[in-house]
This record gives sequence, structure tokens and C-alpha cells, in this order.
Amino acid sequence: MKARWDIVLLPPLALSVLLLLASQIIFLKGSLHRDLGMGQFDPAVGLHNFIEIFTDSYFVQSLGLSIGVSAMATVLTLLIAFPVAYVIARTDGRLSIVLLSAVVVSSFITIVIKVLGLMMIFSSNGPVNGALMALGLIERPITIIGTLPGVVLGLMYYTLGFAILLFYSVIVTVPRSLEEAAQVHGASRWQVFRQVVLPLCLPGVAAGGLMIFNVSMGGFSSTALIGAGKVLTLPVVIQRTVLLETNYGLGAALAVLLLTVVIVINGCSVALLARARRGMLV
Amino acid sequence: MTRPPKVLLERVERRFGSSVALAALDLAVEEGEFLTLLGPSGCGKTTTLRIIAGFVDPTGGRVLIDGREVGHLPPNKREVGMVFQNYALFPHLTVAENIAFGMKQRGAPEAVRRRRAGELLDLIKMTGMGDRHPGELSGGQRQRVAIARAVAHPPAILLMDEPLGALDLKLREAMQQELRAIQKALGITTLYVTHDQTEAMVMSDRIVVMQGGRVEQIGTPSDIYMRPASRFVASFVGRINFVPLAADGRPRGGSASPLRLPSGVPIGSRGLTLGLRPEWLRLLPDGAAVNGYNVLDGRVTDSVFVGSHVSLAVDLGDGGTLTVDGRPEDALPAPGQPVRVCWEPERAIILHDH
Repeated sequence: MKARWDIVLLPPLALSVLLLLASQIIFLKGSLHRDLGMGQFDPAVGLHNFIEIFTDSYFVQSLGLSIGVSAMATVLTLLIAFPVAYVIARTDGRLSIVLLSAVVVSSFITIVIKVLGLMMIFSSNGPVNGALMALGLIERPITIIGTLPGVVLGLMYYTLGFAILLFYSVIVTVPRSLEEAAQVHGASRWQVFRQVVLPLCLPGVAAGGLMIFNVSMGGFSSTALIGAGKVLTLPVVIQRTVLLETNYGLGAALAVLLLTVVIVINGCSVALLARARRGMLV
Repeated sequence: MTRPPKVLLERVERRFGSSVALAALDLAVEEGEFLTLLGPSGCGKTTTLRIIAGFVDPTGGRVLIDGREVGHLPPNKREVGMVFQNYALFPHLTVAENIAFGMKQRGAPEAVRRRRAGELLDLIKMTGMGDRHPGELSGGQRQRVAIARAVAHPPAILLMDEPLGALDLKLREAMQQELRAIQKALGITTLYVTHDQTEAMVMSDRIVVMQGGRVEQIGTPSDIYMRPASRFVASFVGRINFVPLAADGRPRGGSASPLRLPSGVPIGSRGLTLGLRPEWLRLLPDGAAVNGYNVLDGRVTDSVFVGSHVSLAVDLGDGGTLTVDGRPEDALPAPGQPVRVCWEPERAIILHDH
């Protein structure tokens, strides 16, 4: 009889499901009760919290902002991470390992420290502003604190390392001889990328893009630090609602909204991708 | 007026650090010719191919295609077709799209591409299979598609890097014939790389035998086999026995009488070695009389039935051993029996020791 090693996986699976579902059920349950203040819940079940969210443009705008910022961060991260991963994947020998290790190590640094570094680089007397002013491109120092581009930058900083690692593992599966075959048969560098590398990496790029988007949607630390209370994405609003306004019911409803939106967007994307792949193979 | 060679390499060399992968190679490939680079791994044959394709930059010398220097051109501007060892077909494209890939890059219209892909599918006996994906094909079919893709454009020259290496023996032999037929039908100049000497003999108009980044000999298959220029060529292509000779023409270290050498070899030359192919040697019973033949006496030590022939090992008693091919239908001596090995003096290769 074959050894059933998969049994070993059952306890961790049960624990994960329990922790994941339990917390979400608490939120889901809380979102259906009106908050009476002082930690008291109205025992009556209803949709008051959701009605409040969808009738208040503050929350709707916050959701839109979250999606917009995350989408922007996803696109920009893809544009930077893929070429970097490509270069590392196609670098020979030891240098490739050194570059990859640098990416891995930097990914393990907590986002708080990374964001502090980002703030120093972009501070009013930091290197970026110094260089731009020396070149005469700007008159006054620019700041990233409390700005939309700053928040996008923070999210990119957060996801870039993982994105590079992910794309590296996808790109190394494309044999180099395919690129050589394309090149020798008349394809320019751009045509090789466009017609061979990208199509073969597309499933990985799509999965990576979704991952970046999901992480960005939930991104709190960097947004809270760089946004400085001026850029209110949904995670920041949830934190404020729960901790500052102590409105647990409304906070829970916002959390449920965030989760639902992310699940719906992922579901649609996966369905679209599956259709695109079927179309390609038939 | 003579046409310039299709591909001309002049003093092409390639160094990797201090090691020399290719040393001052001169080579001319004539129009329509099937030329094979043959040698053991590391001899520089693949490096030569990749220099012509543009994947490797030579550290010296010039590469000309159709009389035009191409050293500064990237691979996509060189009008070259190439077949890779692992086929390197695009898995996300159909067979027809794979074949028409090069034409598409160069802006050929859809209708032209489809017609040409159809023609080539007929040529490679895969009519009607243009809509399949490479993953649905057998090894031999993939190989044929890779060849069709390489010649579709059509290129000035077709490069093939051990294209049959991944196939099993039976299929490889069939593909050798087929490949040669396709090459003849298209009349395309072909540069072929292999380490398999049989493959090189069967397919080539001319063979370039390489070793250690240098050319050992360039010649037709029969030149290479019958008149090898060096000990390396003689032993790399086909099987051979070496009999080193003393100045008086006796086998060195033996008591045999002086051997008659092929005409044209000055008597008394020093540093000669006789090269004898096993199928040139005949066995006679001990003490048998021979006229006009060279004779060496020995004792059979081993006999191996190969099928087309029987391979016998004959110990000459002076430390030397000869391999002799016997015909299976003849009564051949058993191991332990004394025999005479004889051959026509003209059927021998003279090699000069360096």
C-alpha cells in the first residue's frame, strides 16, 4: 500500500482554514449588527452598515482610491519587475545568484524600515531632491509624504522583491534556445520579447499581477506611513473606523467589502485568463 | 567569372579568457554544398556555427556571407536559417506559424506565408498538419518542422547543430536520408555539425574534421576515409590499425621482414606509420604462401561476431595487435590459432609522425 503522506498535511490545513474562516466569520457577523458605541452591538441583524457605506461618498471614494492606487502600483511594478527578472534570469553564472540573493534579502526587510529609507531618499534635503534642484528641474523640494504618487511608490516598494522572484522563476522556464531560434529567423530584440518571451510568460505574469494587486489592496503600513492621514485607502479607513471611531460594526462591514471586492476581481480575472488560454490553444 | 563562396571564414578565432576555442580558422563553403564540421566535443565545431549565426563574436578574423562581411550584424540581419539540437520550436504557435515565423518577422503578407507553409508541409510529408501544436508531434515530426522553419524564408545558408542527436538510431538513419533529400530538393547551402562520423560520411559533400579548435583535414568523405591527413583523422573516422615502421621498412620492434609500401613513398623514410583499415586485411592459414602481398604472422586472440562481419584480434607477438574483419560465411580461425595477416601493399595509409 502506498504511504499516505498527505495525511501529515491535514492538521496544518485544518488550522489554516480555522484561523482564516474564524476571523472572517467574526467580521461577517459583526458587519450585520449596528454599533451602539462603547463596544455594544445591537442584537438585531440588518444591513445598516452596508447602507451607510454605499450612501456615504467618503467610503465609496475610499474604495475607488484603493482600487486605483493598487492597479497603478500593479502596472508599474510589473513594468519594473519583469525586465529586472529577465536580466537576472539571463545573466550567466555567479552574478545571477548574487543579484537574486540581493533581491531575496531586501524582500525580507520589514516594510516599515524600507519606507523609512524611501522617506530619507525623497526627503527635502535627500539625494533625489538635491539632484533635481541641482539640475534646475524643480525650484522647491518635492515631497512624497501625503501624496498619491508617494503611496503608489510605497506599495511598489513593498511588492517589487516578491514580483521579481516570481517572474524570475517564470522566465527561467523559457529555454534560451527559443530566443535564439526567434532571433536567427529574423526577429529583432523587441519582436523576440513580444512574440516569444511574453506569450510564454503570460500565465505567470497574470498570476503575478493578481498577487501584486491583492497585496496592494491590503497594503496598510506603507500607505499609513507615507499617506500620513491624507491618502485614505480602504485599509486606512478601516483602521481609523475601528481604532479612532471605535465603530466596530462599520469597520467590520468595510473589511467585508474589501474582501468581497478582492475576491470578485480575482474571480473575474481568473475566468478571463482561462478563456484567453482556451482561445490560444484551440 | 567565379562566384565567391557562399560563406567565407578568414582567420576566425575565438578565445575564452586564456583558452582558445577556435584558432585562426579558414573555411570556404561553396554554393549548394553540404559541408559537415566533424569532431569530438570541445573541438570548436559548435563555436564556428554560432559565430556564423551571430550568437558568438569572434575575437579575430572576418566572416563573409555572399561576399559581404557580417561581423557587425546581429543574428536577425544575417539571412541565416538554423536547426537546433532540441528543435527549439515555439510551443505557443501552431506548426504553420512556426514554419512562417521568419517570413512574418520580415513582413511577408499572410497569404504568402500560408502558401509557403503549405508547400513546405508537403515537402516534409506533413500535409494538413499545419494547425497542430509542437507538443502534439513526435520527435521526427518536430525535427522536420524545425527544418522547414529554418529554410522557409529562404536563408542564404542553413546551419544545423547536431539536429539528429535526440533521435533514436532507426529514426536517425531515416532522417539522414530525408534531410539530405530536402537539402538537395531546395539546393540550399548547408553547414552541419555532428560528432557522429557515420552521419558525416553519409550526408556530406565535404567534411571538415576538427580537433582542439583547429582544422585537421578538409575533404570529401572518401578523401577523409582513404587518405586521412593525420593520425587523429585516421582514428576518428572509421576503425584503423597502426603499424609503426622502422627506417628499413620493418615493423618497429618486430622480427618480420621489411614491408612493401604504397608507390611514391621514398624508401628509407624515417618516422612512418602504416594505417590499415580492418576490412583491407585478409587472414591466411599459418605458413601459407603469398605473392606480392605484405604478410605479418600472428595468433588469433579474440573473435567477435558483429553481423556484417566478424572482428578478429590478432596478436603479432611483438606487442602489437591488429583488428581484422573476416566474412561470417568463411571458415575463420578460432582464438589460439596461428594465422598470417596479409594485404595489398597499395591498400595502406602512410602517416608521418610529427
